[in-house]
Amino acid sequence: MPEAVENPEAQEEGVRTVPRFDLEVSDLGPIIHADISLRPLTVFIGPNGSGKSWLATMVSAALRAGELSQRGYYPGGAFGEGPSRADTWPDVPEALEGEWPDSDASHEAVAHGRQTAVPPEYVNRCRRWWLTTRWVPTMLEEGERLLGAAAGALARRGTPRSGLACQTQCFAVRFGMDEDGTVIGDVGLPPWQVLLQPVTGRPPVPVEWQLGPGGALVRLASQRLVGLPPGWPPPELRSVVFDVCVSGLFVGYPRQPPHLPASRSGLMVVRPELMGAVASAAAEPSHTPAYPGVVADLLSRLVRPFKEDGPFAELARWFEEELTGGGHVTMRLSPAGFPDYRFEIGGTEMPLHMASATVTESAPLVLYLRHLIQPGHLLIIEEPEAHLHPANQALLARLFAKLVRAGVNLLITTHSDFLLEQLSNLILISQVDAGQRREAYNSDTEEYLHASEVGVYVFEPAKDDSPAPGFVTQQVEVTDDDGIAQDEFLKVFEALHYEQVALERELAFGGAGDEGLESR
Amino acid sequence: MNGDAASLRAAMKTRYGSVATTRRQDEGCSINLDGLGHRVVLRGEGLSLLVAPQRRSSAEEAPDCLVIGTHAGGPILGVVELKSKTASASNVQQKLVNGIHDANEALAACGRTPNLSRTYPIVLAKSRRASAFQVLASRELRVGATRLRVTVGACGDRLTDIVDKVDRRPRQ
Repeated sequence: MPEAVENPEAQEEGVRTVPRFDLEVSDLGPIIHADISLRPLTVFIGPNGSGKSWLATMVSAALRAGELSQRGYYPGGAFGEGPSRADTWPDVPEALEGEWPDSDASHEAVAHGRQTAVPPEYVNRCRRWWLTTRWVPTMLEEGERLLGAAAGALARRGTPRSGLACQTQCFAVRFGMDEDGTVIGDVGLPPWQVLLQPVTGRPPVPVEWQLGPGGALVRLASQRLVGLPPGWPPPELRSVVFDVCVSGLFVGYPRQPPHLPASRSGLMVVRPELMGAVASAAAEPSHTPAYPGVVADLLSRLVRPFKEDGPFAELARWFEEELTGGGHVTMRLSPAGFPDYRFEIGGTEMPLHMASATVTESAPLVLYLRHLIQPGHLLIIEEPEAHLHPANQALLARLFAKLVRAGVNLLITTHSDFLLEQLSNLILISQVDAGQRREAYNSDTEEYLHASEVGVYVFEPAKDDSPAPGFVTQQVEVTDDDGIAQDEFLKVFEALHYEQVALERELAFGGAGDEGLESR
Repeated sequence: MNGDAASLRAAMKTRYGSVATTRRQDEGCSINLDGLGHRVVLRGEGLSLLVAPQRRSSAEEAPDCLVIGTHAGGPILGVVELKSKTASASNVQQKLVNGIHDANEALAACGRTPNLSRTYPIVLAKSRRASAFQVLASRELRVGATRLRVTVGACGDRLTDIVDKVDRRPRQ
């Protein structure tokens, strides 16, 4: 099997990384230009209306497009997982019919049971076709749906089109989009090799493959490859290679549950039947959606009963007990079959709307943690601190550190200096011995973050002469010694502080004195 | 006024020249004195040992520097603590109070009447952590019957800018 491409960032022991996923946008919503790179924990900060949610949603759209672009195309449908579809290969698009270079040589090799490489030109054509013909339009549609924007309405005010570039470890694509559709710019595909390995055996083995960032190894029963009529390669093999090439585009791509938008507040206290009706309306296909897709997706998930506990059920229990003083969100089925979420504490159960805002605000996160989140997921949460006391905002940061340690990736938008403060302390604490961490700081051994695991971006007003105002992103410094630089919040603190000092001096001295240190 | 400021500067240099310094930085943190006229910078520890050796057991309880100069029409006194690392708020508070007392004694010895309305206790910190900022900014100094709030800024800030901001003057 070809060697995987090394992650460009050197990996220290115990320090998590995520497969490369960079997103660059221009003239999108309020954003003039933004350029971010996902880390295990990615944080967006900045003023209201600066585009944090827009960018988070486009990250979501880009990730979902990997899966959605294949839905309905493959009969098997399993995303990124090759085997078990041996007899249901998709038709290869007409655009990819045609010459298979060096077909005689590869035919000769497999006929004699030797490993051979699929011509790289063909591999690249398959990959390029999928990216430009399926992934890009799907991402655009998904972005519009999630944001609840009308078709072609993503461009920044006063600009004709938005630009977008996405780079992963498997591909790079740049495109522009306006109301007329998309214009593909550059497409970059790192070398990616597909090796065919004929395998003998009776009965013939099914097709199997292994994918990596550097390529794929496909094992096929040699009986199915030899003795075929003229015309190498056979359509079935083209299908296999096509399928492998597409799946290989999304190796290491984080999966994600529906993201938790800022507008989640209040959804949990809607009566279950009403929630069901709203979810149905939200799911109606329309060019002017009734609800942003992020809300519709959350509602759609909440109206379906959660069943099995996931790997983070215990963590969810810890979090909600710490948060609520021992309470738990519970669920009953309403007479109409919809989940009716409730809160139980000290043996007393109550409707969720009778519980505190802390409970209702955190309930979606708790339910996701308990039932949906898996290692490797990317969970997007907008303003997770909403309605939480500062102490609970700090608790939230501890939860995030535990999730990062457990292999979950997070993207959050926040206005909370308490959250950032605690995250900074969790970065500093990574340099403290685990025993000391527990004894002196009352900290779980899994409550720490390395600076390189945290990417923070601030959205700032652009300092240009553009007629329409807009925002740009700047990466915020995060270091093991100081944690996260917090100039964004300090600017506000400083302004308030100087005002306070000025007022106190005004009241004490009656304004700035013009005399002082006088001669006696 | 300038003549008066110049004579104050001369008097301070004559009397306390041994603790005067051109250095206004500590461990990588500094205060910018651009725009401050007729200035004299005194080492806090040095002045403390000169004017109040009996009052303190340790000269470490003095601020990094005391800055006397003219700005916006009159003399001002900056009592400055520079922090490149984590600052203990109570320790800083005590240093600044001591620094004000020491400076006032020095001014009195030079024939000047101290004026708290033109005295600015300042901490400049390298850390850009919100919690550290808030803790320092919450500190109030008691000097006699007067309460003075500590002004907190960032290393490299200009003294005259700080004075203008807390006195609500347009920036020079």
